[in-house]
Amino acid sequence: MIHSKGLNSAVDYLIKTQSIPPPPLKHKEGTDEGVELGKTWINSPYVGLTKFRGQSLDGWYYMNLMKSRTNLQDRMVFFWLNYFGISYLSKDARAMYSYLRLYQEMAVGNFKTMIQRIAVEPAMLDFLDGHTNHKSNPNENFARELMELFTIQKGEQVAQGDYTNYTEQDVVALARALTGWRNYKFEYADDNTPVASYFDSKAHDTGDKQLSHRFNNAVIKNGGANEYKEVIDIIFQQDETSRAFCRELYRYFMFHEITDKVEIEVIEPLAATLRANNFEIQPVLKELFTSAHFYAGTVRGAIIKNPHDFLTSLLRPFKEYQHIDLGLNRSYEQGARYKGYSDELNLEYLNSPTVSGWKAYCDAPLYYRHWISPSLLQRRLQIAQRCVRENNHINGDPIDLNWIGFINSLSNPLDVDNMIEEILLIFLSRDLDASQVARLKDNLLQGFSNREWINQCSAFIAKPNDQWISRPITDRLRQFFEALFGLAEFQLQ
Amino acid sequence: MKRRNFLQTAAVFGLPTIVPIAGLSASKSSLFTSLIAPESDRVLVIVHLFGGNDGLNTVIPLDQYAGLTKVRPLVYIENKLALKVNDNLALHPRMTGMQNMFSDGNLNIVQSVGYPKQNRSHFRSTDIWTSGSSADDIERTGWFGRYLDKLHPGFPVGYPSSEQPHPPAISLGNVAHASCEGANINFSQTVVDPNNVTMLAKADMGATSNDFYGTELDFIRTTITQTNAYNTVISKATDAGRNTVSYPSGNTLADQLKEVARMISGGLQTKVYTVYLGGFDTHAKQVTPDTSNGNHANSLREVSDAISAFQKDIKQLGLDDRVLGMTFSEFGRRIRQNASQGTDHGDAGPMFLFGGCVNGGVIGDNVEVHPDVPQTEGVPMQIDFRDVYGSILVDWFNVKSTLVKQLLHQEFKYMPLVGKCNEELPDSTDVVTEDGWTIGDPFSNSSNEVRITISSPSSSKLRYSLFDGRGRLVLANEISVSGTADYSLFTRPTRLPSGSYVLRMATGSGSTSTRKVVFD
Repeated sequence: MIHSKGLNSAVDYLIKTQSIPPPPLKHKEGTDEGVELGKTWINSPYVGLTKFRGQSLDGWYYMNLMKSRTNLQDRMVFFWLNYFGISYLSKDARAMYSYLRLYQEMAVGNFKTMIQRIAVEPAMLDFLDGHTNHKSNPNENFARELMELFTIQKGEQVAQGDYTNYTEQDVVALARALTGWRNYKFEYADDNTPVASYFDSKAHDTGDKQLSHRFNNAVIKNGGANEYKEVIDIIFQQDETSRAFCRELYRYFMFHEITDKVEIEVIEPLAATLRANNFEIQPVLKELFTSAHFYAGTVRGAIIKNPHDFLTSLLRPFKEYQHIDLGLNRSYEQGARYKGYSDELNLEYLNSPTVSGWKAYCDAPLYYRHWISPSLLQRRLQIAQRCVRENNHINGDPIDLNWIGFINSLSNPLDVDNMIEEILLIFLSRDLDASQVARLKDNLLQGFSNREWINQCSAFIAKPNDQWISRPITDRLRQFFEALFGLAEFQLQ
Repeated sequence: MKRRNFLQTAAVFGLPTIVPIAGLSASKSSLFTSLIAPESDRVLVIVHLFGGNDGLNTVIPLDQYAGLTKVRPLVYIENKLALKVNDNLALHPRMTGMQNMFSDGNLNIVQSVGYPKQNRSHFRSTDIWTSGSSADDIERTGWFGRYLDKLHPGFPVGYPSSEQPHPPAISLGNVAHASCEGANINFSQTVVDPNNVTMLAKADMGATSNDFYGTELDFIRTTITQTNAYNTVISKATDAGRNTVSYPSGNTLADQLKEVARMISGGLQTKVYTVYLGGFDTHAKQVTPDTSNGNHANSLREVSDAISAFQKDIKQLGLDDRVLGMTFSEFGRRIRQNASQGTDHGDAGPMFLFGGCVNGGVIGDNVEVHPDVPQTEGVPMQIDFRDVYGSILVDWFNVKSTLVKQLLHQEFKYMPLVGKCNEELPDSTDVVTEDGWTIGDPFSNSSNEVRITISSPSSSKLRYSLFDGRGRLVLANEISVSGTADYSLFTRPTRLPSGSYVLRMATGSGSTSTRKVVFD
């Protein structure tokens, strides 16, 4: 557990670069005939019935969420999914994997390198029309978003076409500098066409690109296949780029509201750290997570959980259903089911609603509150109920939480008050008041006395497989957790 | 509180606040005389046909067979099978229910609806149709949500309230429909099964900490309370409501419309319901084994059976002057068939409006099908979808066209679509009743007294009733009349807020006359 270590080493553990999870596998018999069952399809041509690659990708992504070690990698992968806002649904699964893989590799990597790589990533070239950007007919879509959303960000419009940090002239110039990148025609290809982009010098504008005074009137000379890197260098020379990025990190990890005080006391120093470390993200995260501000009362636990956080915070403390050997196919199906849950809660991980990402991170004034509505709260409760109830199954195969394993993982499950206190520490970010705890306890004991709990629970620990003994305990635990997961407090982290 | 709400609404809508009543020139257009206030009990049912419905096989231009047989040799509907609605136009052979609705005057076909610079992506075009934006703009709110924002500013804060106990919008299914997206939140309560709603555990409403955690917690607790309140009224309405017809089975659209009818009949005051049917993306095997069968035929049968059952139910429930339906699909399909017995993403397509108050008939000209039309050509747009939406807002919800322009687009062009039930109030000229009375236009004097010039053939009584914008009786009395004179009807009671009212008068022998009264 993290809190048993010193803060410093705990944060180091949290932010360290983690190994990349193995790629998704073919999980279903009778599909994807060019790929062996249990082997990955990420480099295999599309031959025959391949539609289960989408399910495989979904299952893989969500099983990683449930099973990965305590680390920022998954959280940063979603940070990037939101940051670049690519909607690339129902496309070639290999290209979807490709950018998820990029996000995993760069989870806590270098911001500037990330921008360089995303600029020529096939899904991004497709999503923001970079692949059609031609010297004779420049497409400004990516150039515009590169500045407006991904790096320096749009400032106040101070004159016609002048957004403080850049101008329309810069959009035009950058679009020209970024011409020439193409995708191989890999989409669903049944041959070995690489899932990759390439530089076509014939489509590239070799002329000088004059930037505005916002970039000190710099001129971009023809740099061919490396010109996009020069573009990024120039944008990264502006301090506003690092500030904008640190605001995004703050908004994702801390709170949506960035006051003047936060701007001066948090964002500015973080941005300086980012620049001083050549845009490495880890030092920034370390500074953020070890800052007094991070532990300040006002923002602690004030983020409404997104659907991923909701699902993982609900299941990961139970170690999900990993005590059951579901086998390859069912395990992927279960992962894909979490994807379905997340979709129902308005987060389709590969289908960002706009290039700005999810409203929770960009739409003032509601921000995270976008995750909550009457219908979404009902769905949250229904999903929680399904996860904890006895009749839960995956396509007919019953799955139940590992109640005995969970009880045994607690330090003193026989002392019911102590046990509840420990559970609330695990599942909630702040304390409940005494009357709420008392109601939860009523849900658990349902008339048992504390002493009877000792008797029943010891019997359960001794004979967890005896239905007559286990049922009174597990039934009560189910009730208790349904009540806990239905609390407004559980929606916060 | 009521008064404040009403005034807010009135202010937003800029209801006329002309002091001298007689000076108000009540034009004949339904815009001005329907007096259906925003708080009326009229309901819109939005039927979303997802996938891009093939308009040319749905609404068939009978005068275009020379072209159709050329460009759609394997897909076109045979002339003899098509269900005629007039000499030039027919419906798909599986749409008998809607053909009957057309004959009954309960169906309006709007031809070739779309928008300039058609986007052929399902998602983007759906966004455009649901947000009511142009192809070039990203609009985050939904077209109906923006209207609801005018009625319920600040929603969801303070809702439900004793004045507004019901959800403003309901989406059948899990997803709140994008057309109801408001400035703050989607107005839709999503309802999967109104007979079986999920009640959340009652939220603890104790004091929360005085920081961000506390404010977020308060928000969630409020939403929990709102959810349960809406679920309670939905359950209650569902229990109280009923259906009078048996809906077709195995028809997911019918399943949804059945619940909508039941909720409305049970007294739910929700303004808009959205229902959803997929399956219209007919790239392949649109028709099989013959052109009047196949995937598309099955989908259209589902639509027609469901909507005609719904219409029958609504009529038998006595609700058909309160309920209007509208179908839309994110685009129509190409004019030419493709190589897979299907059709690809195109441009404009038909919309259907249905209900007891639609102006039955056809709006727009037949699609022209040129035998040499290029493969990539979609049906060109004739009517902007925002003009259909806007005309519904005008006719059905009495929204002023100035506001419609603000909500939808500046180039808004009104079309009379659903004004059949709107009451036509006479303009300021005198009205002569059947029994020989002459009734003038009401006017007021400085002491808020409402007076009227009447000429009666004999000594008699004039009974009058005043209704507010929601159709509620607020005042009734009678006066004695004899000969020609200015009579005092009543002095405006202070309890009556500013706004438009309907004055109904009946002579001694029972002839009625209706006039408009506006309080400043």
